[in-house]
Amino acid sequence: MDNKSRRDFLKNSSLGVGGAALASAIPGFNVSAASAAELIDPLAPKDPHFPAKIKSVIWLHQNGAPSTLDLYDYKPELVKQAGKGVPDSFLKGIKTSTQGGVNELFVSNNRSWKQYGESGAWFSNLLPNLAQHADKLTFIKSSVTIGATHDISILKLNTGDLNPGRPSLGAWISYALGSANPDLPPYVVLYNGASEPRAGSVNWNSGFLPAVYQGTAFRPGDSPIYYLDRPELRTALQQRNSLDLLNRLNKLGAENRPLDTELKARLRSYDLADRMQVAAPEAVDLSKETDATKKLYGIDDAITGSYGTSLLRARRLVERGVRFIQVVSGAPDGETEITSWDAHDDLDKNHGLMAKMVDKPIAGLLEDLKSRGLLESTLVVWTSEFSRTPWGESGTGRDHNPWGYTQWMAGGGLKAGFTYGATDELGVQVADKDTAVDTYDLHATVLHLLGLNHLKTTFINNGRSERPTVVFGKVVKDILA
Amino acid sequence: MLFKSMRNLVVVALRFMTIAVVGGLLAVGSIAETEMDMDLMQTIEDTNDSLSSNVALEEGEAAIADAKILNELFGVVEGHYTKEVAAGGDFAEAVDLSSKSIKLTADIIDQLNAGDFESAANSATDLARTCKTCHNFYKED
Repeated sequence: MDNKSRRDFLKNSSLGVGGAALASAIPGFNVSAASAAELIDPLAPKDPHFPAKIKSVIWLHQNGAPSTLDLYDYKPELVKQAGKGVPDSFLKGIKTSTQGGVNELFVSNNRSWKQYGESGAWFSNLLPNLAQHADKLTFIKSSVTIGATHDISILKLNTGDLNPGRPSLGAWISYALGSANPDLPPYVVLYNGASEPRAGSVNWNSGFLPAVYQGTAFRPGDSPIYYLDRPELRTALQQRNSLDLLNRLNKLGAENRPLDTELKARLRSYDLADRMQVAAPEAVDLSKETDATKKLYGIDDAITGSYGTSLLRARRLVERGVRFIQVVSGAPDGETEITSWDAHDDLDKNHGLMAKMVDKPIAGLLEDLKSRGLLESTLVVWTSEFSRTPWGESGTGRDHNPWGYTQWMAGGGLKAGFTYGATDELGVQVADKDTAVDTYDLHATVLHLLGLNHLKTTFINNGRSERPTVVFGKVVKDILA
Repeated sequence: MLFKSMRNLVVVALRFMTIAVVGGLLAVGSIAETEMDMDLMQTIEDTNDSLSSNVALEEGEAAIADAKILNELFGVVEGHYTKEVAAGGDFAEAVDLSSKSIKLTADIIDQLNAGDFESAANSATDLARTCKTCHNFYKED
């Protein structure tokens, strides 16, 4: 192909109908096959590998690692053995030199358990509202990960690696599917509380993928994105005129340099920012939501209000085509002592507050999605960096447990009211290692529901083909409907 | 890719030569072998990463070269742990998992020779998970 014909090809494929056709025919999973159209508009919608079951994901990261032994994983044997040591047989094959050591088994006197729904799923008294939705949930009670510090394990939860540098799951999804709404980012991060989540933006970055695929953090409050608001001294017309002039000048340049895809990408980003000034605040503006809806999410309550606001915003973003919404749990407004689920001591006080903060809002989200017909096309994931040990720490707390814990999903393409895997009788580790579901498996399953084969969702970095699941990852087929 | 696989092969060959030399030096053999085991594991990890990439890129020749290297290296690992078991060590799981890895690498070679990259990708994932299982099981405190 000579220079002229190559130029003609790129021009036609990137600027014309051919570009759109090429962008949809080649899903952009392999950068070597990435079309010029993708480089000009890297967020152009792309087809999945196979028909998707869901359109959006709401990733509920329970920051600080809740004790799922106190929420979902009822262990009568733990209740019986409370106060005694952990038999050696339960500790085989795991490293237990976590900071608190292995102490006596611990059970809170305030905990009670009940089965809910036709599925008979167990819930503790900490989650009375969520329990009403037992039959919507698909439990994975054999979750495992690598236990390290919170920051490192949170990084693994979101990127699949213990070291910074790999793309987060949401970034891979943005890369593979593009945006379903040209006025909003395809990947949004929400949080409640006074500050940005611990470990910060490395948990929603794009790693070695182009930066355009990173998550956009929406701050709590009316102005979700830093520096997005038009300065007061500048009118909308002035800004539009200025952008139009810039556009005309850049187009003149672009006509002389048809292969300059960076220039075209920049042109697009100016327009996107202009449109987002209207679209982003509107997407998170709850003023048009009914009082009943706000109440459903607990927005009328001091403890549930801020988390409920995040979840109602998440639903609005789903309605507007955002692909991946990462919601990181923070703290109720004004709360400064308990800011995460990290209960190394006084678990009752910590989990009493944190469970109350999330219980009603998550129940409200599930009910709202269902009533609007959105649950079938949305995936809600309860996830955490690890969980907590059955033995006590500091008398009334629990230490970190990466060897066996519960996560759940709800939504399209799943067996609802179903439980996969189990922990041992005390809840120390996964009962059957063949059923262990690691971060990579969870990611592979989420991608599968979005119509993506994790093995074929690849990007060439430094000459090597990389994928979201590193070199691991298996879809948990047993939970698929 | 092929160059990298050849480079790995040279590295492995040098390590085998070192093992042979060290094997004659009984007094220092144990320490030297332990150090080499760590190197060996690193080579396995690097080669496994390369295999995964080459399978994804459908670079058949390079992927087969990687799989052959891994097949030989897991033979060394299996031999090492078989000796440890014979000496009374609690390494039966390691013998089983390295045997499984040898079989998986052989399967990958067959699948790649048949041009079946999808099956090879699944087998390579199983191989990586087998490595992970073993490392988790024998993780040191």
